[in-house]
Amino acid sequence: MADILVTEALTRRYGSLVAVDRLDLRLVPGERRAVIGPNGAGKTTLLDLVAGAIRPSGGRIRFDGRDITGYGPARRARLGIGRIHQRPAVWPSLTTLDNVAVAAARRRGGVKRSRRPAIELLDRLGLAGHAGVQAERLSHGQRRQLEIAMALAGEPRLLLLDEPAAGLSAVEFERLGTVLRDLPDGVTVLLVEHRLDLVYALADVVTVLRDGQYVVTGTPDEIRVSHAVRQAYSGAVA
Amino acid sequence: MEYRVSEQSERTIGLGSLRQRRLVAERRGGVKRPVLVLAVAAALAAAVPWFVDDYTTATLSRLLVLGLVGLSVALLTGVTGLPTLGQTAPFAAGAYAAAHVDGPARLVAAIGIGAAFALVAAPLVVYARGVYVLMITLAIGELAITVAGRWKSVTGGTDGLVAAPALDTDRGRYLYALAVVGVIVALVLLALRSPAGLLLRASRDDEARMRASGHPVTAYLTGAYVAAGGIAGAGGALLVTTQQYVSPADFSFDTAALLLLGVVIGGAGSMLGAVAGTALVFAARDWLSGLLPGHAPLLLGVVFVLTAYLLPRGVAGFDWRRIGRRDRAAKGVLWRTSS
Repeated sequence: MADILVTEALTRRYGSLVAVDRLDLRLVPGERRAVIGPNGAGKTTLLDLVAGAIRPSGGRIRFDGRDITGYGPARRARLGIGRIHQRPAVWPSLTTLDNVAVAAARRRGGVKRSRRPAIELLDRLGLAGHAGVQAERLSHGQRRQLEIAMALAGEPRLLLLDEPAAGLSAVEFERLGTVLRDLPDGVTVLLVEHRLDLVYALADVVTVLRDGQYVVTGTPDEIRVSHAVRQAYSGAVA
Repeated sequence: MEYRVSEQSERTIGLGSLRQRRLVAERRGGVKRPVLVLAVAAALAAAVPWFVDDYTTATLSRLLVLGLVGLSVALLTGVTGLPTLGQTAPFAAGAYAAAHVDGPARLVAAIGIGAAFALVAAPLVVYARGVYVLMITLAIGELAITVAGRWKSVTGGTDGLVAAPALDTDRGRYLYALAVVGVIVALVLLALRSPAGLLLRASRDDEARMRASGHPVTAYLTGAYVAAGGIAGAGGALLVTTQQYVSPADFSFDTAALLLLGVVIGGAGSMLGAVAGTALVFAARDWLSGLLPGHAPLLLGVVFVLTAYLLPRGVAGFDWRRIGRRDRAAKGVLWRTSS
């Protein structure tokens, strides 16, 4: 099966700091890949590079066989790359329903056509009761759920999740796990998350980064007992 | 991804609980009452020329024109998040185009030229943000005045250009201006209630999120900028129709600054508030300059500072019900105390 996402020697520098250092990554369609590592490992930078939010200093990114290195974020989104951000990014002056409808509009042929699927998604994420409420009135957890609904509304083929569990209550965390587990098989997930219980429950494969560099890749069971992983984290603490 | 809606949510969203309906109606500013208020206001405005003299009618016509240009400023500043000092440029382009055309084609020509001017200038504006937009649009406005002052064969230079009279009386010109402004305001309000309005507001709220959802934000902003240029151009046609003369002095920096001031005071997020705010600021400027010669700009500056501090969303954005609630709360405290 052809890889859906390939990074080749992907690099991002900020002055003398190398946030992502010649990273090679390959994801097959439908794979659930988690990326973990200590703070400053380059996880969010990696997602920014794949989403097109920042340009790489070197290397290439291929999506579904196409070189997308020079593409902007909107074009990548239209190809099927969806994203949720570390801090929930919603449109505060729009209602919850309009947020999801606008997020889905490009993939579903307009805002009006997107309303019905938007309602269905809100229902699935427990936000149906807030459909008519302005997003600025939602709690942090509700905004997080809303952004997940917005990302799913675009029917992504590759979903980039940047700490989706941050700030969620126990109920919201449970619901998030269910939603992510129930994603269609064709959706590939690249997950950055500090909560390892979610990582181990969701991921097929886990990649560990440290200082922007690849450390090890393995199944959750392999990663749990990996000496290299413990060293990566303990090195960060030291 | 196909999901089914639960029965409870179907009841909540599909049929609409009272609370949801009220929230949606509040967001849209209600439906029936504002339409009624606007209809009464329009009827009163149409009746005004029969109760005032010709000079006042002509002055009101000019305020309508400036209110329309203020609408284009509000569309950019409040809805798309591009604060502008340069709408005097398409205003001027529309006015000079209109001065060379007679009859009903005058308005169409002015809208077309105003929009075309904005389309050419758009690449300079839509990639900038915040204070840089102000600086670039200020430069565009100043360049337009310079060109207007020097391109004598087309603009008449600093002497200005006399246009052919379009209507016979001040009353007729006022009613024409009122009708055009009314139609354009209605069209803008309808557009902002459509998905296009949602896309513009979302682009203003979080542009990166829009791009991450696949939306071509630059194209949306260009569309809004061109539309605002067309509206300002229409203002130019009305200016020529109402005062039958146009010169670079009509598009000075003072005009650009007062347009932005009027929009901020009226409420950049409210199209009607912006039109009213702009008209009031120019009326106040003219009134104060007679009352306190030389001090009008100072007083308007004070009003601007006070508005920025006390009414950051302008008069139209202020929640007047808060006063009522505070009043009722105070009464409640008194009642409980006295009992």
